[in-house]
Amino acid sequence: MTAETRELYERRLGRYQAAIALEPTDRIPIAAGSNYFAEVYSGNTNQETLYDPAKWLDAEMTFVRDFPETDVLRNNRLWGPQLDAIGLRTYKLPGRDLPSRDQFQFVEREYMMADEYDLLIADPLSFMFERWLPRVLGEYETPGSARSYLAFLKSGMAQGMFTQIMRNRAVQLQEVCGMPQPMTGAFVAPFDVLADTMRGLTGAIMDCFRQPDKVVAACDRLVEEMANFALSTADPLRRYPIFVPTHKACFLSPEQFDRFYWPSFKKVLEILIGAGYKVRAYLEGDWGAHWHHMLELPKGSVVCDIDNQGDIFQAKKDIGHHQCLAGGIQDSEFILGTPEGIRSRVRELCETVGEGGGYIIGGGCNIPYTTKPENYRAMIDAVLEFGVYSPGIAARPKDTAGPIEVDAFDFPKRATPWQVKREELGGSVPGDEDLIRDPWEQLEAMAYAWLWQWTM
Amino acid sequence: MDPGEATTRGMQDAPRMQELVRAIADLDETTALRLVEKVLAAGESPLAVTQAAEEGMRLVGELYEGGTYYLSGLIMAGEIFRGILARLGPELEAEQSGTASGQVLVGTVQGDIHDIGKNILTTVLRGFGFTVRDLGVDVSPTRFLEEARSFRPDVVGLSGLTSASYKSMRSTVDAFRAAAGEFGDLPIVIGGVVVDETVARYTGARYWADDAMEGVRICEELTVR
Repeated sequence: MTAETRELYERRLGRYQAAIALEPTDRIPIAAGSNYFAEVYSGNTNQETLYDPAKWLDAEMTFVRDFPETDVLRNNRLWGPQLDAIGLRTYKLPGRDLPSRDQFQFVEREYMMADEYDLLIADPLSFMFERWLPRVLGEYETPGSARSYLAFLKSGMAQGMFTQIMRNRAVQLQEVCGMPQPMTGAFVAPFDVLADTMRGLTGAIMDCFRQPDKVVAACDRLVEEMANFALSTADPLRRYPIFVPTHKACFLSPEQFDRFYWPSFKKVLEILIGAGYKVRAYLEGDWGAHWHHMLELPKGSVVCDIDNQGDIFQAKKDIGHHQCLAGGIQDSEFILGTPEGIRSRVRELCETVGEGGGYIIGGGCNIPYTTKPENYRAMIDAVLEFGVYSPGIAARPKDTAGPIEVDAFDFPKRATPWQVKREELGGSVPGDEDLIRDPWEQLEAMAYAWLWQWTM
Repeated sequence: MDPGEATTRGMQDAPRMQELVRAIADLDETTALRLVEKVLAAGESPLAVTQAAEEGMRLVGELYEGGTYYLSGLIMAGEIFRGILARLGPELEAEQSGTASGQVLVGTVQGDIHDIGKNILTTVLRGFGFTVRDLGVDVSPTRFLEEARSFRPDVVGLSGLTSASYKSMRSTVDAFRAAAGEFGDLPIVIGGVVVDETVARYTGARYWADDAMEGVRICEELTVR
């Protein structure tokens, strides 16, 4: 990395981290978490973004060239071949199931039955292999078949390839463009595991009425699993927040949220924050009745993205003094609006939500694919005009590296820990045990995390 | 007057029917289904039970609008309502024809496969006495027109969650307008959380709703007879 690029990277990252921590910055960061617009900016199709890493990277590098004021671009996304290898049924992909220029879409079904809570709670791994995975992974529809074994093998290999692709992307974006990421690593709230990929929304809502205690117990059981997955996929250097999109909280009453959603979600957040991480939470839908809970977490620990349906001005009053807010521009404004309209909106946001810092400008949890380039440019220009606090401030990246320590459970989780394997080997090995144990544990941890990614 | 009294007056077992209305309004599924068995055993007609269930749904709708219930309440009420209709069986459908508030054709527009919002709207519309033809997801403009031809709706509802649905909503509205000779000024409502005034202008739809109950109220206004 050239000295100039390093300086650019550090200025961007420092600005982003300072805003998250509610500390002074030179200007409002331009740091949407999910910049779909950038992914297809060079004219590539949505299918190419998901299937051709070179075209995806090319789109974003072109985007950075044209919009260098942008502070972050994301890395952790889907890679089509990996989903194909295992036959994941929870997504419809452009080019495979949808026209090439359409966006990928989530397929919500009842992948877990109403009477399967006890097994999930008692033995999550048996639940996954015996009940849930055969329904979610098409290639594992017939467990024990030759095809199912090969699918796991292929998916494991694809995981390795995907990791390499993401690493290359991160290096290119960082070293060539000086571009940090908005988040690395992810999880979903325990209730959303149930309401997204297991029971589906209607099933989960009915369960809240029909078998509430089991819903609560299942959410509690999923706390460790989600914390484990989040930490397994997080940035080891802790530069970037861990991502959590919250999908179904907006359907719940405050009483239901307090009983079914928040306690387990809060536990996961506390584990991650305790391990030294920040979290970037998309408060999807209208979280107005729920976001006051973010005051219960340490100040400056969770970036709260306010969705199109949320009132970001109210959020500023309610929690803006305690957590960083992001968003403010409607999807419809980016897609159908005018540069004048954007300028006026950004001015309003800068003068209100941006006051005192702790604000990141962007759309409602995304920058839409079909954003007009002139509207994105108008947003940047307006931030430079109205969103500058003090040009002299040059926030530097924080020193956040260090080993991950978790008190709540034995991290990382493994299906067959080394102690078990060692007993099977007779209780000891004649040579250097570390040389055998460490890779054993590492592969166990990777395989365990691999299993849970299908809940995302 | 107690909730449901207007609906249940003159019925075989009016107190129990009022209890049924109340149980639905309270989202008490077990009690509601138990009461349905009792009133049917007492000789109430499937139509009368349906009307009581619709009254319960109306109360749920009001409680939602008043902020007591959230979307989870609408979803649960819809499931209770659906459960009651399933119990009443197919004879109901024949009996019900002609008493509905109006006919609404709904679907998620082409290119979008999300159905949560559409399903909530559909169930609540049925609870409010509308006859609904639900075309599912990823519905092309051509299919909307074909179905409108056979169903003759009073209102057409276009649902969408992704911002890519804007274009499909517009093409569907355009298709209906191009066939104005056949459909006249058939009201079209676009709905979904990504919809607002700007989107309505772009698509050419005269009505829009980003909330299921708003959608129901618009349909009510458009079908006042």
